[in-house]
Amino acid sequence: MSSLPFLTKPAFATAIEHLTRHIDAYSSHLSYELKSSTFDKEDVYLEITRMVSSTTIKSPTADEGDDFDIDIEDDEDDPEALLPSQSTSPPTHKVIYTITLSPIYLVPILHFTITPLSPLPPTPVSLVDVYELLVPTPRREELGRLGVQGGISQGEHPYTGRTVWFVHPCRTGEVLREFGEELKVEGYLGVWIGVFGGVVGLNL
Amino acid sequence: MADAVRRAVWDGSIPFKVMLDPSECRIFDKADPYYFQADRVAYLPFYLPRIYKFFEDFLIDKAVATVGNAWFEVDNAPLRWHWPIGLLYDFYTALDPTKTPTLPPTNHDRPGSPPLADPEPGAAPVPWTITLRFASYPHDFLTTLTPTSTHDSFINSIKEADFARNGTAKAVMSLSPSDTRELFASLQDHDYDRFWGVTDKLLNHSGITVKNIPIRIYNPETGQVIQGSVPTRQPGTIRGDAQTLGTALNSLVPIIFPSKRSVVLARPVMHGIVLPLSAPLLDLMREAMYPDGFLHITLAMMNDDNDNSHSFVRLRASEGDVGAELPLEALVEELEWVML
Repeated sequence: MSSLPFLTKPAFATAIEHLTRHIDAYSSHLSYELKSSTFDKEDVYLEITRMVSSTTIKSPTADEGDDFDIDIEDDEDDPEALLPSQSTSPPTHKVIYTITLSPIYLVPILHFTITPLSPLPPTPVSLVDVYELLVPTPRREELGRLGVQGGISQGEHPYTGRTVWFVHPCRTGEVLREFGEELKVEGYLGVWIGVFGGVVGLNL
Repeated sequence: MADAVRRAVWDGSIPFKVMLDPSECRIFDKADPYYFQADRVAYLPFYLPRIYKFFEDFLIDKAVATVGNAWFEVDNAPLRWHWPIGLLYDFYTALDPTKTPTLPPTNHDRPGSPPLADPEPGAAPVPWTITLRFASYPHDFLTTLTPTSTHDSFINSIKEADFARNGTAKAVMSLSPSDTRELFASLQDHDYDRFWGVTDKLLNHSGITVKNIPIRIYNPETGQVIQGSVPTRQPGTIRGDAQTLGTALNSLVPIIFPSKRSVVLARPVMHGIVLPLSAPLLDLMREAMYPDGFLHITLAMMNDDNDNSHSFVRLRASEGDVGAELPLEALVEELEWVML
């Protein structure tokens, strides 16, 4: 039994299924792969890959539709104005996001890695680079104020053990609770990406 | 003494021997090793500056081999900066405290004396020999060490544990900024009174009763890490029986812990000792958790035990006795024994 905004494993699997259907229909700029724990096939998570160009992030324009019709409560400007545009300039970095269910917080966590593409040297990106590459300029200050060193940390991936970046999930439940009855398992991840994805450049 | 277990956990330490990667050393014959005693509840970055200083003069090029790209390795495995040292040791040695520790050869060994037997798998190596390296930093497995990264991951873990216990991270959020800073500063200074002064506020936050206990189980054989938030009372029991370590492990990893009362396939290990399955989980958390709020339990697999074939017999024999709850104080003696 799920009591939203908290998810059980089966509810999370259902939410992923709905998200992938949505991506198939509306978000062809994202490629994804359904993955599962090597120890338990039922334990699923989603991997989404996106190419970014280090210059695109600085020239945001609103051009993507938002089919979930989310009304973000931020008193910031129109959130769509903050979306990085799909630019035509060649990609400089590959970003791999994963959406997993935290067994402690019982909400999704967004982990990601950023790999520089040739001809860039394969040196790992720093926290400063992460902000530069993924965090829309108007959100940087707000995100940087959280926690010890801002709302983005480095840690190990719960399924692969590899080093990843992640967005702190400690307030996710609290924020999603504001959606009340509007939040359903089917649209859960769409809403969640709307609130927490855009901060690090993941938009549907 | 009311806080005897906490004290013993806090005082636990591990002797280390650090070798410098020979390819970094300008002396043909290799540098002297650096010996130190590390607190089990601490993190490797706390010791890095003094270790670096010791080896500084042996380095071929100090401009290339800096504190910024230093890392430690044991048996080809990089040692994670953000795991407590006690966990690193118990995990990477696949520690089984029932095996005899392997002591280093002493000066009494004369030439011609029989060679030392291979250490038993799982036996504690003393000291623990690790290598200081600088080249090819394994970014895939190690986070980048920065002045704030250890503090950051420690506080993230504290928040996660708080959320598991209370269903919100309110207790952590309501700490004053100076108390929040004190959590990490007191750990760095290894100051028991200051650390527990703040942590007791988290565990006894007014208006909140602990609902769940945050726990991570590490299998050294497969590398699998299972994390969970275990209710303090066993769900489905009529009287709401208190969770023991055995009932918790049985619910989290039933394949490895098919019995709630007897170990069958693995022994649960924490702070260098085998934990009794009868230990009440809430007490174990309050008294023996790591400073980050978690019970970090490694598994000592029993598949190489000679008497493994009898384990199911043992299990049946012991199923009958209703596991008498062992007072946690009984652990103190064992914890003190492992402090070398």
